[in-house]
Amino acid sequence: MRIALKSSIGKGIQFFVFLGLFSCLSQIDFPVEIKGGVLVVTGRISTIADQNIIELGRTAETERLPEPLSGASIEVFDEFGRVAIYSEIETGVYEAQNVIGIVGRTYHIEIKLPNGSFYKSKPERMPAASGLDLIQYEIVEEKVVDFEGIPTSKMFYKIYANSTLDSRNTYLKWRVTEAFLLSPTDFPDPFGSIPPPCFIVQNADPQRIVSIDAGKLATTQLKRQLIASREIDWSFLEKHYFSTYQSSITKDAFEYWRKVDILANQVGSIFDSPPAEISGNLICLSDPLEKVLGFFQACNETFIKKDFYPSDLPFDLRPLVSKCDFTGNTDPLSYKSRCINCIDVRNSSYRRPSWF
Amino acid sequence: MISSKGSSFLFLVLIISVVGKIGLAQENWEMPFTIIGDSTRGNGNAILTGIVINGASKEPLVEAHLSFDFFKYYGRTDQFGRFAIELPPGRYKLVVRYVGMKPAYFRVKVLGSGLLNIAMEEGYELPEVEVSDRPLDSNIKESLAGLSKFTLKEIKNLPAFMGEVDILKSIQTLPGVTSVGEGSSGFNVRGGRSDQNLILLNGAPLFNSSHALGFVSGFNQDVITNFSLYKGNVPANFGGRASSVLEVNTKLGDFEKWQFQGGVGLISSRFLAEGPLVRNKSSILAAIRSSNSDWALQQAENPDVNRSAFNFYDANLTLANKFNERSLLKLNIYSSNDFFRFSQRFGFEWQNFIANAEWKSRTDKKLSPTLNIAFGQYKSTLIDPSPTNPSQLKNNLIYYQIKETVDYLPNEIHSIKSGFESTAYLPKPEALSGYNGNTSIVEKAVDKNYGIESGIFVNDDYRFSENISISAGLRYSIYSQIGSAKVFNYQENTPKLESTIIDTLHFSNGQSIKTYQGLEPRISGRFNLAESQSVKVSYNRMRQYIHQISNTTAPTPVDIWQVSTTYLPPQVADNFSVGYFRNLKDNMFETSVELFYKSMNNLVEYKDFPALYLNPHIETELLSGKGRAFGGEIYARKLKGRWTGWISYTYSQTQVSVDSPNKSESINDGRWFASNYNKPHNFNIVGNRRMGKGAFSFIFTYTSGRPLTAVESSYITDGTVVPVYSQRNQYNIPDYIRLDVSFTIGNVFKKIEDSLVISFYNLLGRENAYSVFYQRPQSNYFIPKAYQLSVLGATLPSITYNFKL
Repeated sequence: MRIALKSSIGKGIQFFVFLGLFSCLSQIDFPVEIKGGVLVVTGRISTIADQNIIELGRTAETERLPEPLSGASIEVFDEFGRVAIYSEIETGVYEAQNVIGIVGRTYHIEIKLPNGSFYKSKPERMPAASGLDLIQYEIVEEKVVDFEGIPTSKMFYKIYANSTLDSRNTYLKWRVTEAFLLSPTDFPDPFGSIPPPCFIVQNADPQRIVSIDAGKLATTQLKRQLIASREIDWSFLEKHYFSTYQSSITKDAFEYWRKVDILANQVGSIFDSPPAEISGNLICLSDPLEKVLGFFQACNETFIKKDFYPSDLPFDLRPLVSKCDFTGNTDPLSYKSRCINCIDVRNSSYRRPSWF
Repeated sequence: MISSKGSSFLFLVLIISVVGKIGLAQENWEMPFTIIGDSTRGNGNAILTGIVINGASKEPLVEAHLSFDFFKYYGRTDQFGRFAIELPPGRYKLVVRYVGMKPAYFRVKVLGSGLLNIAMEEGYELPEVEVSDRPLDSNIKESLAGLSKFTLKEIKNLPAFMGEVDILKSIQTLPGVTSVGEGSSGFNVRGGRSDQNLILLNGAPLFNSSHALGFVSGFNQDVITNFSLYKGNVPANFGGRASSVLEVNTKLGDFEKWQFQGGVGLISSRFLAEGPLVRNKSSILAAIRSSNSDWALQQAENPDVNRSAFNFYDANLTLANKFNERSLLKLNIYSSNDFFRFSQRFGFEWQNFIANAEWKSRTDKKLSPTLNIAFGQYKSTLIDPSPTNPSQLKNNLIYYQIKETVDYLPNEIHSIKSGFESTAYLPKPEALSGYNGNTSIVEKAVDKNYGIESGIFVNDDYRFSENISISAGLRYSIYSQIGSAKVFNYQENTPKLESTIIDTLHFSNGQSIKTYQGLEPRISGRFNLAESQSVKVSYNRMRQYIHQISNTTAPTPVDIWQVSTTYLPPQVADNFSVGYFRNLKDNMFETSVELFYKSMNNLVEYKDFPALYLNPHIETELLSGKGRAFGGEIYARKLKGRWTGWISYTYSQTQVSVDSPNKSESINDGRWFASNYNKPHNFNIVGNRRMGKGAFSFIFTYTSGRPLTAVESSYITDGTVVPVYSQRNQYNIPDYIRLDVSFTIGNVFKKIEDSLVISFYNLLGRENAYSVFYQRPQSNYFIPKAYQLSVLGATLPSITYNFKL
């Protein structure tokens, strides 16, 4: 309740009456001391085998996101000993394969870095699951107000969850990942080669954090809970997948996400909660004063995957967005950068997901 | 949407040319002498006594000012309109002033002691060009340090946001008074928090003095007569807050004839009616002010704004009955309501209600008891009207207060005020329920804590000589938290968390749970160095047993008021100040330099990301800290002439420290850090130019930017960018600069006593930062970018028409 209210207050207050008429918002250069070099650990052990991912990095000395950290040794343990090793599959990305978290077991990870530093997470007990009954999809037109207060109409693909809560002592969180194909422009060449497509896998609505404390609800039936809203843009020109994950999480993890939600919804109004650094659940055993960011969580997850084709749209998208089709113009600068080097797009890779 | 700067200036020039055609008022001293007395005292001086009344209603005028030869000698009336002034025999020009009355001019020839009764004529002079109805050297001769008194007339011509005269904004132009920013309710006095200000409306505490989330004052300008801000020395008859007292008084209805007045503005319209119920015996005053702002919302293109609702009203009712010349009973009722809904996203509703009865009597010439009984209620509702799980969260603070004050005046140089007061805080449970029918929210209520605060006090003002006077007081306050309540016991030497609760104690209804008590000495001394120079020193100790719990950077209407408990001890503040006061050019200019230091204990601070609503063990989210504030204030004011006004500058620092052996209960590793409203530099210029029956006024404001907790890096988890913030309040937002101007045109229609006020808020159209916050840029390769929110980033013109019939 409190979270929902504060969050909605945040989103709306900047348009309040005169604020709506007389306020203004502008990006500024605000000098701060960039703090780099802090270890960041995020990831999970899941009841879904391919979701046991941990990412390691260090905050950058610049304004960029953390630099991935390679070469670490990561192990996950339960009450009975070591369960698995997380192996590095990409720079800074580690995966424990062929492992499934077991309800009621308590998990923690231990990390050893190449420089000898040793880290450990607080234990997380794998919660019981709640059923994800149904996912509903909807395409709607909405007016969106930009920072300058100018409303424009845009089309959105919205995803709703219907769930049955098995227990009141449950904390749930939803996330929706999307995967889509991006085919770069196929310029004519004497060899007739076709540039390989890229596959983009990412969170469909990353700043929307939907989580609930079931103990605060009067019903065990959750109906039409909006969990993601994705603007329909060029990415819908090709096949699209949406995977909706419903995670039962621990109370500590719920608290962590509650704080992330507060920070994600700051709008500078008097109703903003004062921001602060979020403490995670990892500590450095070799240097207790060292700060570690991030959270390792044990998630009992269920998911539903849905594919979506351009033909599923109730309108023709092609005239509305810029495409990567070859137009006869051989000057690469006349094309969008994503059409030239699709791998430069955030979260892009040439690796095709096995289910794609 | 708004007028451009260019068009604003053109309009400004036009208005100046119109206003400038109106001539200047002149005082007239061509009248015969009034001869008084035939004998003198042993020292050769005469004692003039008498009473000042409203000639129409026969009502005694309290605190009317009498000035002989431009304040060479002066006095003021007591609560029964009486005065006694000692002066040498001679010829004098006497001016008597009172709010809402035309100044009365006399030439008097004093031969010896005698009686002078004065009946004043009602009048609505626009504008009142002299900035003060007080003795011009009152700043030199007043015993209390840090006291600012204003009549509504003194601020009525000042530029105001959307034309709404606002006493809270006006006092923020005084040295040592600031606020977090535009659109925030509350103000900060000499480093004190906004909840450390006791706001009294006719003697009864008011817990929210703003409409429209802080943009508009909760006080109807037609009803207010005067207000006083005690920011330095606070007399012992006031208690319960740790920083300052703002005392606001409303007027009585006319005892003689019916009168009507009102105004129409862009934001609100108001109407007041007053008149006798029984001629010369009882009167009634009824006033209402209501917003008319929904039209503005409808004009907005933004679909969220034009689907929103915003309205407020306030109403005042005052009944007065004179049983005889020595006894007056007043019944005041104040009610206000605000409703604000933003689209289908969220809403607020908050209400004030105060009913108080005040009985003033005079048993003999020296003793005057006053009894005040009050009932107050502050209700707030936080609404979530969203289609899924609509809900509302309600808080309701109720209090009952009784206060008896006895004024004893042995002679004209000595006065004693003593009495007692007791306040019971009985809040209703904090309740969460569904909103508008269907909801899946579990209804929940959390009991709030009860408390009774009592105090006895005595304050003695004594003038040892013309050069030395002392105001000394002592207050003893005692507070008890009472049942019914649950008190949780926590493991020793561990942070207070839900998980460290080891026992729960249950207390029955009315049972005493925890008691706090202590003495609160108050002293202020004035030492004249010369006729127009004085030094004042003061020391206060003040205790506060009720606290505003706020999880936001600035106070909001839905903040929770929480009484002291076992784990929430009273805030205790020690305030020191010393000031040098000097008037120049026959009191044309008053100047002062003041230094202050304030130390505060048991300040309420918050853990990071506290969950304050519906929390039965709220102490698990709170921390106890200590605070300090220090600074210097420079003030110069011009009191006479066509141009009047003041310049103020304050340099101050306000800091907090929260330290604990448990790291989770420390803030910034226990080091001192700036409070949310710490603005070291605060500079104001207020000017008022008399133009016959019109006036031109301006306010220029500069303040340092307030502290900010800023993003220093970030990371991504599950695709969400998580900003990593600095330690608390380590940075500052950009500085704030604003210029407001207004024009008052009197007698718009010749047969009506009226005025037209045109004002331009933020004439420079400057986009001042209300806050700096962070949002993720389009490319999530980068950390969140800083954005500046300017609440009022444009010039706001407004026009208000006032009338009196």
